Amino acid sequence: MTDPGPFEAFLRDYQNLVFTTAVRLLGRPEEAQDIAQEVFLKAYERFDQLSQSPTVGGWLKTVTTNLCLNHLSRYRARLSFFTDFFSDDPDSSREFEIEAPDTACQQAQEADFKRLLEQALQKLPTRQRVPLVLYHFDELSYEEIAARLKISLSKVKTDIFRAREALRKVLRLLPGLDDELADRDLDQEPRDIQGQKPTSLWQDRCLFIT
Amino acid sequence: MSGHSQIFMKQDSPSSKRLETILHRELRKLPPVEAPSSLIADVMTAIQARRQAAWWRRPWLSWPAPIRALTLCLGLLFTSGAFYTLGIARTFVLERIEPNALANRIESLLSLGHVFETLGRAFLLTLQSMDQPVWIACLCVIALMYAACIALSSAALQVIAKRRFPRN
Repeated sequence: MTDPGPFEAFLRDYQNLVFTTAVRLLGRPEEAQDIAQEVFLKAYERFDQLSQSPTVGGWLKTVTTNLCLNHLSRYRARLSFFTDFFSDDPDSSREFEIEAPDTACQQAQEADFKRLLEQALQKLPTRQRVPLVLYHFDELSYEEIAARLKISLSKVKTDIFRAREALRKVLRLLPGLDDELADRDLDQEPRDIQGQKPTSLWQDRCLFIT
Repeated sequence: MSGHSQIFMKQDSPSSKRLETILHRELRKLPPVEAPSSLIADVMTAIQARRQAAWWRRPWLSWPAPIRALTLCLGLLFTSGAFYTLGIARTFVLERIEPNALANRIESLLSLGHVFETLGRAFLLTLQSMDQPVWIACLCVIALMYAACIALSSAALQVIAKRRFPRN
């Protein structure tokens, strides 16, 4: 059997990769930790081959994704996951609350924005988060996602569209991105009492958030 | 216009495409999520538990190579032995079975059918002797009991589901 010494170093190197993949798909850190543990136990059984392989990162990511999708379909199949997936109600997307940044609005750092984006991603409903993650992080096509999740192509497109729209408000919190998005979205931006566009949407949002 | 058709129209708008590009860029810039500090310890504990477990309790792939080879040979031997024995047994039974004995067995099974037929007739006679209102009331009670069973089991499933898998 494999010596646990080198395996512990391997574990240290790849734990964040595996956990990140799992938590983004599952949206629950506790479940992601269980999946990560299962992935590493599988890796331990094949450690002799894996330690020599240059594609170990890819292997771990693929196994994690497969285990997460299996987990979602197995344990939530009859309960919420597939009822979520097959729900065609256009108004079914839930709003999520965005936590206030730690720092003052003016000094809001990009780290805060990244933290908010990560939180918002994990708070998306499963039916929206899973296809979005597969599209943007695993770079699967819409067709591949539909085949993978066994749902229709139009459902994949609609769910990803809704997920992006839900994340739009987080993107607009960062002044630079606010301007980038604002070029096309002037009609969607809030205006003050005099009908003037706020100087920064970040400042504007912070008034509501804090 | 339905919600879906509106979405399909919006999906191709320049604003949506721009959002997709920006979101893709920003998501790809996200740093990895820090794994919990207990993950390494948990994995190492699970590995330790596996190492301490007797070899036959571990997955077959991690058994010692000679034992794996031996069990594979034994498995093959057993399967081919089972097929061979089944073939012999079939010939043995076919050679020894008497056609008359088989016919007797079938006849005894058919007599069981007669018992059920008599019971069915008795049931029909009872139904015919009942007044129509009583007959309808009985059917209603049966239907109500059936519906109550379904409702109770659905409610129980919902309660269990909510406790085990609270929606995020």
